[in-house]
Amino acid sequence: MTEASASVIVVDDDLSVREALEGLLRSVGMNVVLFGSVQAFLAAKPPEGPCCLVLDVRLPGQSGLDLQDELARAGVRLPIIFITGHGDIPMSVRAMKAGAVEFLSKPFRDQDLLDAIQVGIERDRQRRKDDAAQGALQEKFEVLTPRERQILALVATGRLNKQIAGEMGVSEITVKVHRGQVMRKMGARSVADLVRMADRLGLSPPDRT
Amino acid sequence: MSPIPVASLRDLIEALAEPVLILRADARILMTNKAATACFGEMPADQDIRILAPDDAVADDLTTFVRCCARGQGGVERTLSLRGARSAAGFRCRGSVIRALDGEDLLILRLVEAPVGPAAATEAELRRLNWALGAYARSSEALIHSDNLDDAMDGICRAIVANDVYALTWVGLVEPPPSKSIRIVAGAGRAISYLENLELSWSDAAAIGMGPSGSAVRQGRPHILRDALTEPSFAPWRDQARLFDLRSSVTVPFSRGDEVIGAIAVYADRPDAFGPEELGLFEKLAEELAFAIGLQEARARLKAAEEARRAAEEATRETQAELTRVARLLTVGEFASSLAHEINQPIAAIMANSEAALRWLARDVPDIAEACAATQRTIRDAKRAGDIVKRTRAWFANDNPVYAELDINDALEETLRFTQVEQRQAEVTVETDLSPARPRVLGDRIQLQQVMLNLIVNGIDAVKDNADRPRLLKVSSGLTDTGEVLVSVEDNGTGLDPSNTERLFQHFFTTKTGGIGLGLPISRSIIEAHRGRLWASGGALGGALFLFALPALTSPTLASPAQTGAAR
Repeated sequence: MTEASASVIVVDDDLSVREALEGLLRSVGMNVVLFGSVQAFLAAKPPEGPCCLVLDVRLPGQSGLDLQDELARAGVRLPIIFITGHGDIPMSVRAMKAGAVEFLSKPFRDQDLLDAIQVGIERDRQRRKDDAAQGALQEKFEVLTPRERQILALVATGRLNKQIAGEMGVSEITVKVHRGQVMRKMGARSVADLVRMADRLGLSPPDRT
Repeated sequence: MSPIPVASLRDLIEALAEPVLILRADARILMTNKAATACFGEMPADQDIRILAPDDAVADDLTTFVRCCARGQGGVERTLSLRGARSAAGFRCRGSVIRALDGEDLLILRLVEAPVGPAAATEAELRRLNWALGAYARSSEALIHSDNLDDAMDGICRAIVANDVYALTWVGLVEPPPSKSIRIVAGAGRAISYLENLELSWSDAAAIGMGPSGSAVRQGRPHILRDALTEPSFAPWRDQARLFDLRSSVTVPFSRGDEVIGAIAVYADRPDAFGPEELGLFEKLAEELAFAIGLQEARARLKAAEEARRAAEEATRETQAELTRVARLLTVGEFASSLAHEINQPIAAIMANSEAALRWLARDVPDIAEACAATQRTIRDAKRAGDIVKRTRAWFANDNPVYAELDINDALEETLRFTQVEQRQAEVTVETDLSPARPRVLGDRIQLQQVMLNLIVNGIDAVKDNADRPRLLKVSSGLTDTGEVLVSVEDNGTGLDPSNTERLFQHFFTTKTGGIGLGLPISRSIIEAHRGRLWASGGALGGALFLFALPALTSPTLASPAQTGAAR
């Protein structure tokens, strides 16, 4: 799996700052995408590959903090580094609480920004990997039959084959066969592995009446 | 203006038995009474008065006479052989000038057949009526030309007693229940002292309510007292009237709508002095007085409304000015924040560009083109930062300072009021020690208050973190021996680092986390523009002490205690 190269999205209404950041990031070999407003950023197609957002707090129209809220609501987990010309403490607290990577006051040392960008991109890369793994797991889960899913959920709770058979009203041997099928289909190397997968899939044991 | 007095004049001249003509200033006839028409035939309006003369010689005499009357104050008399005279003696002509409401001078010309022989009774009668008409004219004039009611009523009273024919006159206003008295508001005449201690009422429950004025007011009809010595209802005042030689009187009520609002009374020193003619005249006068009172009250209401409106406007203007001033002061804070944002943009860009240039150059194969481009951007942004600073300076320097005399204590107290919220939030105790001499300086109030605000807010910030001791701020003013006004703001915060006391006044130097380092340098330039000094030192409270000195305004008038006391 070849990964698209990382890029940095800069949203700042000040042309000087945009150009300077572009120059700085290019000088360290990074891809940069520039936007002058939140609206322009939202209208554009998101770049492929891991990325992070360098966002000015004070923007005309929608502010950087508003954008952060909006992205969170839409389930877009893009790492954000805030930069501001004159930030106050409540503002930075709000940004950090909402999951910002860093809150930098202009003028900032280039290394601080570059470090934050590294953290942000790494976070995004990890998230993408997790998302991909999750996606694969989900795909495998989709292949299971309803009965297999039921057995997977019960296995995840740590029940023995005998207990499962009793609960489902089938013979123990049937449970063993199904369980083998589940292990194979999910690509689980051990029962512990299967339990972790069930956990990541968010499975809960079927309700007993 | 309405022709009310002219209409009144017509009624008036019709009431007279002899021919009466009213002339305009150009000697043309404005109106005549029936007696005049009977005597001279129909006279179309605007006819020249000369048509009354049988020949040119008499016409010339008549013209001269009219001119004399017009110039004089009335009372000019001449016998002329006009047409229509039944005797060779002709007419006794008497003219008096009256001013109409529209400002035009009118001449009232009264013609009486000259007596062939002396007839004392007729002569006396004539004199009486002549006088009455003159009084009427003068009273009307007093009414029209006074711009307040007191003057008008005073003028009427003086006009009535002008020729000393009557001993006394007064105008009284009716007081509502329960007092039911008649309050005398104007009076004139040789017996004026009769009015002292005079008690009048219109109550039908009191003996003094049964006298002439009480009856007139209650009944709404004129009352004639024929003889003060014999009239039973006049008993309460008889002794006093005798003392002043008052024998008869007429009291005429006047009304607004159906309500009697006052009365006018005239007294004579002989019994039975008031006949129907006089009564008619005084009734007319009373009517006009009522009209004038209504007019004056309307004017007073209008004036009061106008004054109220003006006062409201004034108050609004003052509030507006106050708000503008507060807004300007507050703007400084907001301005600082936006300035910080604005100036940090190019500075951030400069730093990033410079770093980028260094990186391009530090490569194994230096990228000169990229480094140049980054450096170009650095230069551009540095220039932009410079422009922002320049604009900031202009904002403060060219703010059209308005130099005016101001009380430094007032300015300090007001600034402290502006910062009450901050004081409360930071739980700071502010102690003031303001000079009782109330020192004054010449300066721009807003700029100086910006300085005060800056020092006070700095002081509040400095003591905010005092955890182990109370948070104190001391603000004082004083006058030095060298003629300077000294203002100091002292706090008990952590104090100043002696090594950078002077750096405090450099632009963009700050020791505060949220500061931008402009307050003190701007404050210092404002004080220096006022030919003063601003400096810092350690204070007795252990914190910082900021002081500024300005030349005191010393004018001799201000030195006098009376002036100082009156200073607002």
